[in-house]
Amino acid sequence: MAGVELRSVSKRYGKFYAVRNVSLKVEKGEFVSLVGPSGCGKTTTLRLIAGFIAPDGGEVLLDDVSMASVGVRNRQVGIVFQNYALFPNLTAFENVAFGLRTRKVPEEELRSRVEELLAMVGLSGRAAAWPRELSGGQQQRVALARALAIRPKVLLLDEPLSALDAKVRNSLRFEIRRIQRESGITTIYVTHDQEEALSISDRVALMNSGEMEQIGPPGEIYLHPANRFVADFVGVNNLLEGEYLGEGRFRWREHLLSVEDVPLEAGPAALMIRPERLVLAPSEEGADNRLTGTVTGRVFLGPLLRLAVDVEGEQFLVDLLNTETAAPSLDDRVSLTFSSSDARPVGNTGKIPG
Amino acid sequence: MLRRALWLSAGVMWFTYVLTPIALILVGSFGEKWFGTLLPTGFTMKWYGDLFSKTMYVRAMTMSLFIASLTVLINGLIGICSVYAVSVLRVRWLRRAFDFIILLPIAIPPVVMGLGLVQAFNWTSFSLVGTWQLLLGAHLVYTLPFMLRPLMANMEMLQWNILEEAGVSLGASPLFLATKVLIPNLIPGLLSGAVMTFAMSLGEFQLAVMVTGSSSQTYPVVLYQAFYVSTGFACAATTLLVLFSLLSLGGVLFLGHFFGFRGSSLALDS
Ligand SMILES: Nc1ncnc2c1ncn2[C@@H]1O[C@H](COP(=O)(O)OP(=O)(O)OP(=O)(O)O)[C@@H](O)[C@H]1O
Ligand SMILES: [Mg+2]
Repeated sequence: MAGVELRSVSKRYGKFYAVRNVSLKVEKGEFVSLVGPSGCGKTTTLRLIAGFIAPDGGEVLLDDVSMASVGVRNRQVGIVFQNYALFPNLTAFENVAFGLRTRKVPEEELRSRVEELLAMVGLSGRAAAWPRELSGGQQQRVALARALAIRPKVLLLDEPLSALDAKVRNSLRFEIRRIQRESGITTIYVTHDQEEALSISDRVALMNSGEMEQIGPPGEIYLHPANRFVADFVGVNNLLEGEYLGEGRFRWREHLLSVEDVPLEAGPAALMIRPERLVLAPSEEGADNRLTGTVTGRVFLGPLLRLAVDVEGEQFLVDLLNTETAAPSLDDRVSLTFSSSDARPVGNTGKIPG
Repeated sequence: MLRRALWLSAGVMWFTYVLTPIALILVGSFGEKWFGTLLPTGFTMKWYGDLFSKTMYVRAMTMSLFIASLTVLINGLIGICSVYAVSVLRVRWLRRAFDFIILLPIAIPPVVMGLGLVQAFNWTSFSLVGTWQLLLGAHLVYTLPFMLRPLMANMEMLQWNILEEAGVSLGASPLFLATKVLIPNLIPGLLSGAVMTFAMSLGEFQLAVMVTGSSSQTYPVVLYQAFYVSTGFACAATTLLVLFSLLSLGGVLFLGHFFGFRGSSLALDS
């Protein structure tokens, strides 16, 4: 059973498509992140699911029931906003209780439910606090508890952590994931931070200019990007402009490289090689996939050492484990190699829907 | 240095133009005679006795309090509905038009408005001029901007659009949202608007003198006539008006304090 399903949903503003033909199926209890650059339609998609706006085409389903004629108030969705949106005139307790009061839940039951939720987000002691007395992180916890109180069919979070500082953001992101697991609630999490999305999601849905580019598990997205946009957006990458010749062969300038054999039409394409998959070759001898260049930069990244290597005017990023004793220094000549399975040609248009 | 000089001169001006006249009037209201001397001579309470024994003054004060209270009440309601409508409709040009319309009464002098009202509502068969209803209407229009401005600032700070979406997603009906969230959060704006409008209506002279008749005279109108009676009497009558203004201000501040511990502490300097 799908908790949330979008069937070719579109939303237009004038002639401009904020969301175009988006299909997405989120299983019950699944945690899916919606990622993409600013203005790509993430918030619009979330608002379509919540029912604040109606699609111009397509259909939104919650628990397999079409929401076409169901308003926001009756959809039973929990929403967490970027700026918390707590009611300033109500205490933490009353904020969490709000959705239960609108449903006229008996006082006894309400009290125990709110206390349970406040405990869940680690704020048992602050039930009587006013929103303005709480830190940003605490306010967002209250907002999360408030959204969960109504036992929503789906929890929608729109960049819930972007107003918080890095440290709080890091701890709270995993806490949200823990709470989501414990309550088993279907969740759609909007963020523009691809690292955040990769680290906490069951699946990641990548959007660009209103369209869905790729939907898949984090590993899949990272290792097998559907197209150039995804390859560029997710993680750090080397992208070489060249020509795919078919059957695992790729031409970059004068070099004929042996690469992953992908079902991509022969023609202009980009070759993606992750920095950690480039290897320093010991000698200049033989072998395929060998590129020679000069080290132009070294960045210390804790466990990693990142080199910038200039090969025929193109800059390559190479990640080495910091245990290597004989790491090259600036201006050294080095040879880079990679195995064909680590070099993936990507086209401009291919999409992989979930 | 410059700051201190500015503060000092502001203090001196306030003292000279605000405090001194009020202090003199207060002193004058207890003086037996005030003629040709710097300060009045003798002590008496008779001016206050006179004041409360003259039905015209008591009635005018009642009328003023009545009009001012109604003005605050009705403008409060209009204010809440307007800021709500403006925020819900989310139409940019409507907002601009609204800003303009509420500023209009400030730009038009009350004399002009009073003349216009007399011209417009003085029909031979049936005249509204002289009724308290017409004065109430005039005061509503005249003071509305001062109710709306703090309310709009309040609303802006609330970010109502988002709170409303949060509330609706939690299943709240519009009525539930209005009573449980909107109005409680507008109390700071409402209170500062109320202080302004109440004080303005209570002390308003130009409209009142043109629009009211003998049965609907407000306190400032009869106060003006008091100076023809005697200086001491006029001072006592003025003191009473100042007292009522201060009482209303104090009452509102108290209410603000009372609600302040629950509502958000919104600064309302617009
Ligand atoms: N009410 C509206 N009227 C007109 N255009 C709109 C409206 N709402 C959104 N848009 C447009 O639709 C596009 C998608 O907006 P949306 O808010 O969904 O982006 P987003 O992915 O959430 O971006 P961000 O990461 O910056 O929050 C944007 O180009 C935006 O300008
Ligand atoms: Mg957004």
